[in-house]
Amino acid sequence: MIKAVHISRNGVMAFQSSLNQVAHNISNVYTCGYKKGELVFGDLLGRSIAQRRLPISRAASPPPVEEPRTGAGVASLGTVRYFNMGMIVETNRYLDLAIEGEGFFRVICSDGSVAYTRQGNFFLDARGNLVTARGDRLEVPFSLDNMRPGSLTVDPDGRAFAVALNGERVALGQIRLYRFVNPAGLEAVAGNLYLPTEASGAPEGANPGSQGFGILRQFHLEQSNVDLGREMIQLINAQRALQANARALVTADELWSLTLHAKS
Amino acid sequence: MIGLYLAEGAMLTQQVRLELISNNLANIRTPGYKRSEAVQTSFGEWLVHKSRTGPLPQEQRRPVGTMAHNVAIAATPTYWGAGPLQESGRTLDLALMGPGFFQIRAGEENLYTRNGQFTVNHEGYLTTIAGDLVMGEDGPLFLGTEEVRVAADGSLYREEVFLGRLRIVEFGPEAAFQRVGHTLYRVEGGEPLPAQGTAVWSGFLESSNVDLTREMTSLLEVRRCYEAAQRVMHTYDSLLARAANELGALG
Repeated sequence: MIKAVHISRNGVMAFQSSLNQVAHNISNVYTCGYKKGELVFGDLLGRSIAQRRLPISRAASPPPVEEPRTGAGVASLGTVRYFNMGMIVETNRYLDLAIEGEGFFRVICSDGSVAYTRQGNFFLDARGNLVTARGDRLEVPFSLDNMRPGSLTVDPDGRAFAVALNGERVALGQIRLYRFVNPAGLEAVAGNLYLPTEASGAPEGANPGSQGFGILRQFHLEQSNVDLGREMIQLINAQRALQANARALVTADELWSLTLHAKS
Repeated sequence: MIGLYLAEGAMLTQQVRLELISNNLANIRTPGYKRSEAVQTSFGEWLVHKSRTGPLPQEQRRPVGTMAHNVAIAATPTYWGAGPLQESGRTLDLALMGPGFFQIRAGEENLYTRNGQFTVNHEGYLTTIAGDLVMGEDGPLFLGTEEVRVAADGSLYREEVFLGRLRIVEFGPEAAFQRVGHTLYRVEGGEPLPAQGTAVWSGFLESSNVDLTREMTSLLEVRRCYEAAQRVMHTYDSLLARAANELGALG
């Protein structure tokens, strides 16, 4: 009975995490460039019934192909991140860049470390650098210092231009994109940033529009790829699954209580 | 007083059933999971003889019927019914339409699964979420990217470049499947044959074939069977109490 309690507890905990993930996705439904995650489950193997000295029949014919055993519940194997593109919407803001296709922007955090993101709503800091909402600097070989405000233009292939104070149009440099063999292996960290891991592989950099890389769309933003309808279904599924496991837990408790009251 | 032990056997058997139901419910959202159920059986039946004051000589014995001396679990078979397909929209979520298994290389061993939740590892090979290689017809499948197209026959393409074909196999009736966890199975006593007419659907997953209504009904049944066995035990306890305390009492 203790075993059944543990199996149900595993289930309740797994679906609790599932609910947390759904809540996290829903709360990021308006986060630009957010990629939704979903939990992956796998079943766990239990010990054979015979080893646990529970009654089993050896006389069954034909003999069972598999030794009678129960499972040990479910385990969460991790999160699968969905890197399909969110909708690209026009914003008419000149510092909004959407990646249409594969790739990430590389940003340099305040502590000097690098991270990757698809969140393309940039801002300017006091020195004219392109920064994310959190203040992480986009890795580009230029700043918009001494340029006319609002004059930045970015080509689909990542070349950036601006108009200098003297009215001359100057080529600023190239915005590069990075991609990974296995983006699902990236570690998601706060601020809609991703860090490379052993599972993701090393970043491969190229100009936008190169083979296998997306193009840049200025004046556009990539929306979150969370689909509320799907999240609602996930929510209902996780909630009902949690309730069913809780019900099994209560039943195990009732059996336990019955055992304790077997004696008059 | 053998009935006391019969009641115990019944209670233990119901506990095993509860564990299996709990396990099915815990895996109601595990793709490719196949439910299992306990099959109960009685112990061998014994011939019961009439006796008044202990065993009689062989020639005077009169049989009065048969009686099974306990209940036990005969098997915990896996039910292979297909689970409903669920759309996920992820390219490397693959579902098998029809019989068959994906072949997975875990260490030195070939294992089989219907859970097609795959990914690409840092070396660019197609793997399960746990990191085991998914086998193609010519060994592990090198994709190099998640941006691939999967045709219904299991062929993988990157921008119209053929990368390989998934190995999807079937087994004859002689094969014995053994669970190894993570929805993988070890197969003994059967040669894998290429699956005939099984289509691969990309962007879909085969859900667990656990049916909530069935499991909840079984849960109620287990609860009541256990209660009935407990009543029997309770009754025996009362009988024993009477025998011990009242039969020998004076006055």
